[in-house]
Amino acid sequence: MAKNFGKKIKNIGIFAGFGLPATIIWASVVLIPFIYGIWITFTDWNGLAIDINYVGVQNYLEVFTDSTFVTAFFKTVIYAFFTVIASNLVGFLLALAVTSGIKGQSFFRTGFFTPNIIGGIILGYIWNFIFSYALTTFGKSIGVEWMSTSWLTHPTRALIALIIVSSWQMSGYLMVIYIAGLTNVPKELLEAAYVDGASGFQVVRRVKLPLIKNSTAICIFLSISRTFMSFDMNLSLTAGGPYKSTELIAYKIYQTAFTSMEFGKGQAQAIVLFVIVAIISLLQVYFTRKGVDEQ
Amino acid sequence: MSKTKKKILFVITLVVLIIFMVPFFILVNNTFKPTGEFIKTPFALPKNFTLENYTVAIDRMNFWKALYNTAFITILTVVFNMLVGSMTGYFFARKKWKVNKIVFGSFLASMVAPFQVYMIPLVRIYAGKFGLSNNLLMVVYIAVGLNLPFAVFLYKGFTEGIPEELDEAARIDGCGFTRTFFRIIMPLLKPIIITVTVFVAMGVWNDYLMSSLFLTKTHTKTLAIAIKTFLTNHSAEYSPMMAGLLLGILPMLAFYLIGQKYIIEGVVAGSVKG
Repeated sequence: MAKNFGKKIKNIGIFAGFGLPATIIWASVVLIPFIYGIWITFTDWNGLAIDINYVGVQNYLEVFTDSTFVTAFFKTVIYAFFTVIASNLVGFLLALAVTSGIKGQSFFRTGFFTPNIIGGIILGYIWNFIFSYALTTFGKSIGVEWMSTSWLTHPTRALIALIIVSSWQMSGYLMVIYIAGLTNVPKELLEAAYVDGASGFQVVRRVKLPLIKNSTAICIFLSISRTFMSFDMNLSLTAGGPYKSTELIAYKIYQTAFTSMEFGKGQAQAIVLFVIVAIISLLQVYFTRKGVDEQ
Repeated sequence: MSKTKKKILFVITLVVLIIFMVPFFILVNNTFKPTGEFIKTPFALPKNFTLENYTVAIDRMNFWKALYNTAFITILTVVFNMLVGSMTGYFFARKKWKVNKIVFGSFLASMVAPFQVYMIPLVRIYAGKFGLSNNLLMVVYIAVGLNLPFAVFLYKGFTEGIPEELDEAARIDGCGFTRTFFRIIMPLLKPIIITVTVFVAMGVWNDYLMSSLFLTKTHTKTLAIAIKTFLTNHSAEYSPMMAGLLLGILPMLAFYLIGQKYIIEGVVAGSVKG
């Protein structure tokens, strides 16, 4: 009895030292804000008013009836669709190239990965200069009309610019994940395929691709959720413009909350984004686990 | 693949890499020109070579202060995150109590949520109720908390791969739970500490959104915020702006060139968290 009691005290001590700090920090930065955030969505709080009124599900209804949010959502879907395809395609091809046994493979990896060590704010601004000044000067000098004016002042081209820059950054990131998959493909299998007379393309299509299914699933889901959360580059490259035509969801939430000061509505939009990202993550877990079982 | 084919592929990859790097070449090249020359000939090499853009940028951005603030936040966040994260990871790995499983499960669940969900409430609580805007330590606290679930997840997984017989042997030698962790286990965590540290450090160093919500005064701004302010408020100083961007890149680039292997590993570790 006394021994048990002593052990209990000791366990409480261990919990206080090892478990409690993390739990407190996490609860105060993650859990409580999350619950508080859900409460905010049921109010009309604008950050200034002293009396805060409950408005029920009004904010959520407004999310779906607000045409600017619906537009932001569809713009995000278009942006995500093209960025995911382009970055995965380029990332995979780069991975194939730098695992093929050519010289300087690790040099190439380091090089292609470089954009990922720099913050999206800075990258967006660098490209802003390219699109606004460098490209236009080039366009004028060779007399091409669609390159003579800045892409960032044209709604469709601004979105294309966003897709190009995001794909440029993300492909080096995805490349590393594809490399991890490709280096796990057994060498004997590849040799056997070549002995049987398979072409390089056939080896990629019939041997490598089926064996890296897991990496592919990770890359695709990862790029989808990253594109849906994209904010920094949206801010520094296009700032949602021209005429709010390139506002993606995450940027729209920020605008609703901190420019229009509609906190309840902004938080409701954030919850919608949360649900989208959560579904993507759960699908990822489901598909990658399944992939593991199959192998 | 035959030797000629490999050579062709090498050349193609090299050309692609050069195209990839063009934005950086253009950036670096133009930081040495006066703004007028950049507008006229953005692709040519500098005719009127100047370093003035850098002095202007350093001055306008309050570069040294911003660099100090960024380093301060990053280092403290990394140290606390490592300490708390590894201790908790060890605790959860060794003590499979029901409460631990519930807490760990909640940690995992919260990793799914994007920052946007916490953004407004965090501003309301910490900047509003507690009035802690422009407090670097508060940004550290929030950064530690936001990065904890992921860190604990990785530390717990890694610790579970360390045989428990080691703990038992230490206990027989008279080590308690705490001493076992710091003396025996923590040194073995080195590889995972590097991975987590790199991941957290990169995220915090490059963070704009979270810190910009709290750090608004010139003397508390981090590099990303200082650059953003400089580029939004000064409309026509293009060459100094580009010098500012390059100054913002340099510290991270230096870090990357030293520890690229760990950095690529650490950054990508974030993708396997599912």
